Amino acid sequence: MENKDPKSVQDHLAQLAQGKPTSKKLVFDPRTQELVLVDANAPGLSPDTVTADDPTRDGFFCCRLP
Amino acid sequence: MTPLVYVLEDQVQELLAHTRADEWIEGPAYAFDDWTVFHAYTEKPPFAPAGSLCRCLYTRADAAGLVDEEHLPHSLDITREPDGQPVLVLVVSRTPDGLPACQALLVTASGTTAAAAQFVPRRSELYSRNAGLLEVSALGHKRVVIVGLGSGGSPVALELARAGVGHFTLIDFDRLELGNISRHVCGVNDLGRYKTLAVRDQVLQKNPYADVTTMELNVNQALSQVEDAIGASDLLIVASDNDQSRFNLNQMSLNTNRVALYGRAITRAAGGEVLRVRPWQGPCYNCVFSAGVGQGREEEMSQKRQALSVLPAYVEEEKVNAMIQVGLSSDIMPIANMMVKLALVELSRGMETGISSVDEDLVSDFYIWANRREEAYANWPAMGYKWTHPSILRWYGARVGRDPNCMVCRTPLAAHLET
Amino acid sequence: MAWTSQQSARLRLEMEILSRYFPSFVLKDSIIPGRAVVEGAMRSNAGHEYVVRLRVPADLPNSVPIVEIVSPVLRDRFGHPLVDLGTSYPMHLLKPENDVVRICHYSASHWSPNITFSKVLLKVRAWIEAYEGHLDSGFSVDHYLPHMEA
Repeated sequence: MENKDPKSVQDHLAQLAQGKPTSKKLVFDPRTQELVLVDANAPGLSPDTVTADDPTRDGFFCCRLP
Repeated sequence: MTPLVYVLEDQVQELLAHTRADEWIEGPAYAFDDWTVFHAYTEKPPFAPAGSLCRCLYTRADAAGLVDEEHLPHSLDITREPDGQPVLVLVVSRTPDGLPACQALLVTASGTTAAAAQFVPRRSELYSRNAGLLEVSALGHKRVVIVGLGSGGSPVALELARAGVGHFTLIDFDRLELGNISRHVCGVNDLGRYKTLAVRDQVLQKNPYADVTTMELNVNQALSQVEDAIGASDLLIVASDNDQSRFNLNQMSLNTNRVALYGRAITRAAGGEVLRVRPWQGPCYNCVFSAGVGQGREEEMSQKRQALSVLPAYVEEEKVNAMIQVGLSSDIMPIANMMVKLALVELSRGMETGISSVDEDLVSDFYIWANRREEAYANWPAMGYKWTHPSILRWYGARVGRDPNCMVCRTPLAAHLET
Repeated sequence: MAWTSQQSARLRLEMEILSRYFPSFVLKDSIIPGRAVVEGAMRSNAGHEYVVRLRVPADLPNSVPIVEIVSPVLRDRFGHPLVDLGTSYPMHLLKPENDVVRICHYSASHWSPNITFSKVLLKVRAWIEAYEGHLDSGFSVDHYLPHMEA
């Protein structure tokens, strides 16, 4: 079940940020440029699908750039 | 004691070959230990000399005949010397079998005394004690680029000079600060100087005939200049303190097909690592460190500049300073020493030397060292008497291979070079 | 100074990947290293458009690229320009230059040449969604996006 609702996507990001478990994956759809929530074990999720979860989990950083 | 005078044999040979019979040559000399030891040169030495400056005159005995010692004070107008300082007179000649000889005289207002002259051997003889272990003449022609002349790179430079390596390019834009001194080969008399120039002087102290080029620049901002230097060398040694420079140097070593050695210490020098990159044959720096090998073993922060480049921008200055946690020099030395071993193996590759067998042992490209059971090594067992488990103060060669997904060394250029 | 052959190949690879995932992004001023930028539009799930500029480092791919949101002028929930925050920990911002917001996405110590522009822009895309979350909820951006370990 896909979900593109901005509030749902933001809630998912907040859950990731707080390290909470989630049953969804955040997938980037290059055609629409949208971030889409899908079930983590959805059968249609190809291994090549770009998810936004991993780089988001890496975290953000404000170091001084040279 | 009889005053002792050291003279470079090569300079005396030069003087004998090119000086007229009636000529007096003036050169600098430096006095030490209450004017009992002198280092004399025919021209200003290439490194910053120590000691008190002393007037020194050379003449040829074969032309002048016997030196009139009694009248020397008068003829040299010795009374003009400040504080009654002596003038050093070196009378050079050839022995009947053609060898250079030197008679040293110390002239003061009250008279002339004889001093003992000793030659600093010629270039070809300086490393004669290494003979049998290393092919000195071959190493004398070897060219090494060293990037980063801090606590890691400076002892590497010195050790390679001691081993007879003849050509160095030293690259660093940092200056020697008070905080560096306790772990650096240079001391307080080099404070404020570029590390490159201060280390160059140390190298020349070990090998006055070494050819040392220095580049006071940031490798990240002078890519083509640095790559040209690496391309003209036999080996690249990387002892810089940030990943950006190491990634850039990694690319340069691949571009120029030059073996590179990378060394780094982890926090408070609890341990460290040495990586050898054999371009296109073994893993590159990116293969190893982008795969998370360095995770959990964070790099030592030894300087504020280094900390500022990686710490979050909101971190206050006080906390930045607190992040600077350095280890002891003795904790850095094993890492530097391993780099030297690998460097000598690489530089003497293809020659039959006393260290050839070491090549059979150093089959790994990645070596890990622990100084103390803390940080990444906190769970290691105590050393005790066993040598079958991981322990501090031993080298471990790790099996690392090329990363097939490496975005740096799986490029079309790699394919081109492999075919 | 010109791009090396490896850098040219890498730039081609980056643009090839971007053409698949962020097709509006184009390479500008690509001749001179240090001046090249990759610029394009991103659309949030709510339909708002943002022009994003990635400055290609002269030592590509060995250092962290600067990423800026060129337009619109970003403001916080209370209407204050984000550039006025300067370096902001809660909003994941770097010190701005030329009045343009800079996103802090990777630390120098976490950077690796294996990271592509596409991955960087994906993080920026998530930042945009988090920014809009801030506008709606008042939570700062780091409520939605965690901090990278130092």
